[in-house]
Amino acid sequence: MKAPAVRALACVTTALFGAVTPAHAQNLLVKGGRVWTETGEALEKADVLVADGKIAAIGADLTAPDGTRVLDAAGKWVLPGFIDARSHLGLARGELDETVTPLATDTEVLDALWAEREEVRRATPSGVTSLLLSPGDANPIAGPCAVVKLGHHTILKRDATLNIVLSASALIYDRRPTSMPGLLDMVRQALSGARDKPVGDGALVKVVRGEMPVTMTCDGISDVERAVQLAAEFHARASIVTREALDELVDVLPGTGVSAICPPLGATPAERFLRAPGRLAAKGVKLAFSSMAPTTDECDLRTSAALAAAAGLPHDAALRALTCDAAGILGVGDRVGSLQTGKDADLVIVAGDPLDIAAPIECVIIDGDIAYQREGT
Amino acid sequence: MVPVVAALLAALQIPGAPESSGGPGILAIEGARILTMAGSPVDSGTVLIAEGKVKAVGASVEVPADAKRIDARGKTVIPGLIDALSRLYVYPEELAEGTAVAPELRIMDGIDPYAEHTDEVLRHGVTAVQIAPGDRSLLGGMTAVLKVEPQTGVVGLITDSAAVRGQIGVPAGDTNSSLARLTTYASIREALLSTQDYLFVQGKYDRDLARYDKKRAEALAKADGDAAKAQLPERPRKPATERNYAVLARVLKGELPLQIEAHRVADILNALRLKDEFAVSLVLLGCSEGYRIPGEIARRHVPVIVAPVSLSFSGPAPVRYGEHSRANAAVLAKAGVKVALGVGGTDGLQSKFVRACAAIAAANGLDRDLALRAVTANAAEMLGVSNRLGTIAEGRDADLVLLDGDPLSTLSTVETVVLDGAVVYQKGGDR
Repeated sequence: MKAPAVRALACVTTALFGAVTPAHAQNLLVKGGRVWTETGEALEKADVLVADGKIAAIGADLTAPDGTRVLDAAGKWVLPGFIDARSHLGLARGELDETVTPLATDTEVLDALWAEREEVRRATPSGVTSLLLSPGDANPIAGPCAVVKLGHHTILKRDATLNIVLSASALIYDRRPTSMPGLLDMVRQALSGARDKPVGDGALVKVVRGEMPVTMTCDGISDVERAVQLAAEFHARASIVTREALDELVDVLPGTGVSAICPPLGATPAERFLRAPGRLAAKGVKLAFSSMAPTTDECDLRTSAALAAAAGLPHDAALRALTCDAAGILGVGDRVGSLQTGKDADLVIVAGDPLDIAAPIECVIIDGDIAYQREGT
Repeated sequence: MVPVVAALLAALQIPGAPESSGGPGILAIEGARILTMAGSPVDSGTVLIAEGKVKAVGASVEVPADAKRIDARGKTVIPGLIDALSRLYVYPEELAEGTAVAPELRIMDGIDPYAEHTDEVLRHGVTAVQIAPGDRSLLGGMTAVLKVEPQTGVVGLITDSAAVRGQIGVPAGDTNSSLARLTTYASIREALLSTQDYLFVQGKYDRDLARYDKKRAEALAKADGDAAKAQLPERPRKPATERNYAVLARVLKGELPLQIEAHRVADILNALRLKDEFAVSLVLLGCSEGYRIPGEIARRHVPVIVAPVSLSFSGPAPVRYGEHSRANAAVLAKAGVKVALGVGGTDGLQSKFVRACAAIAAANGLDRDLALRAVTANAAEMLGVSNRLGTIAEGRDADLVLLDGDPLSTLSTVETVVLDGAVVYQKGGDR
């Protein structure tokens, strides 16, 4: 147990996350970059105008009102901020799961947040602008996950997805469930109840109405098969998080509409894992990457995409997985993940091809504010 | 100069040179951009290889008629990559040896020559690794530098005693106690002080023995030798040889580098103190918070093997890494510290990410040339094997990597790997 002072700090920082969108000092014009759009097209020498934290216009030779700060992106890539589809960044370890309550359907993951942690500050230069904060894996229904932004730490979506854990990590000996059949039964009962006798608009009700996607943590491929079956049974929009069975997902996911959230590939160096994203994409499975931070490096989202690309994931599919596909999987595509007028101004400027790890991230813009700018640029 | 060398070589090689078909005969890699890491790059040149060694490199090298030729126009050639902190050939779970002070142990005695993954690591252009004993030991033993061989059981040993590996702060693990961390420093210091005592006793014996021998010779030379001999003092008794101190004695004499893994500022400073006190040849390993004290390291001319570069490769980040920064290598290099990079993987297979590590360091401010040097020439130098590895120059081992583009760009792919003059990987080939 952490000292009460830590808990108090967590509450204070949660309040920070809830702060209203900060006032924007200045409008921005990102000028003359190679602007990547989710269609796979790159607009050469295009400008992106940012006003009031949103993308105001995209096109060639845009004119900006006086007082607009101009960022020269000539010869550089401009793309949407990267989205980390599963992270525990800034969450107090050991305080994530209410293990007395196996069905933690309406707990608040942000209550474990400690936004001042070093690892949170370190993540911004990596190009990640939004991340899905997930509770731990100790409960069958681990609870709702929130999508938050780095930079000013605003909450993009509080109950973005529901995390369901079909893995041995949710089996605890002195509490139900203690077996996989028991776990499945418990989850199925909960979902049936929400479907047949909905009360209020809790997370389970939203899931069975198709309003809230589920992220399902699995170990082996059998867990994945059960997860896919469960998602189909309740018409839930689902994605699978697995490390061990990443290479076997290609045998199960295609055609089911279920997406895959890839673990940090630097931690799974076997060739069969590195090739998995490419094989999944070839079969039409939608992908996102995750850092699983702080267990692994919070700065390696782009590294994962680059490693997958080097092992056969097409260039555009890799960039989509970092941006718009991740946004789609997490249900926040209306706000982030693509460069379109009216969307949040979350941009990354890269000195070269974003999938070349050696190309430095030059600038990260979150909600229209410069959250990181590389020294000497 | 180069043509002269080439002509000489041609003269030398033709008689008795092995046939170019099969085995490492004469091989010429032609038309490539060659990043020798030993001087300026050659924009379009030839590397001539015979009997596993580089025989000539340059823009105009004469190639013997019977040489096997590789057309490398448009390709880039670099020296084989080195992972300065690898777990290839060893089982990580077997590395921990309590908190022992056992500098005499050799990691070579614990390797598995048939280890998995070597083929795959080789395919990524990594041709040599340093492996180290005693993940958690204070002084774990002697590190080794090995070639990454195809999985045939061949052991390509470069040296079984590259350095003595020690650790300050690391054996304390997640303990966030300064006392536990200090104990690790104090124990290593104690071992070195005891070695000084050992050296004193050994030295005294050597001196006493020399004196005795001299007196004895004088006595024998005399006419009444037997009488003189009877008056000789007792022959000095030889003190026991203690292998652990014998190894550390080599460290104190500067013959064997001391490689200290330390991550947090306090631990790094303590490692530097060992250099100040004992004038050992110190190499810092890990050095995660080195970026906070680059001047302290630079002014002592201590080289650093930065590892891990990414925490994804090294597994969960324990407290012992302190505040890890991806700009670490860049900050150290800018302060004038010689930098190499190690993957520091949890698994030997992660050694294949050497190029990714160099790329990450470059993206975070390390000069691109230095980034490549950090996984070739600088690594070889710090491991004391630069006479064989790390550069493309006459007489060096012919361990080379051909890529289809900029070696630092992760968009480039490894096309050919040459180990000891033999092609061990060809993209699209059988392997």
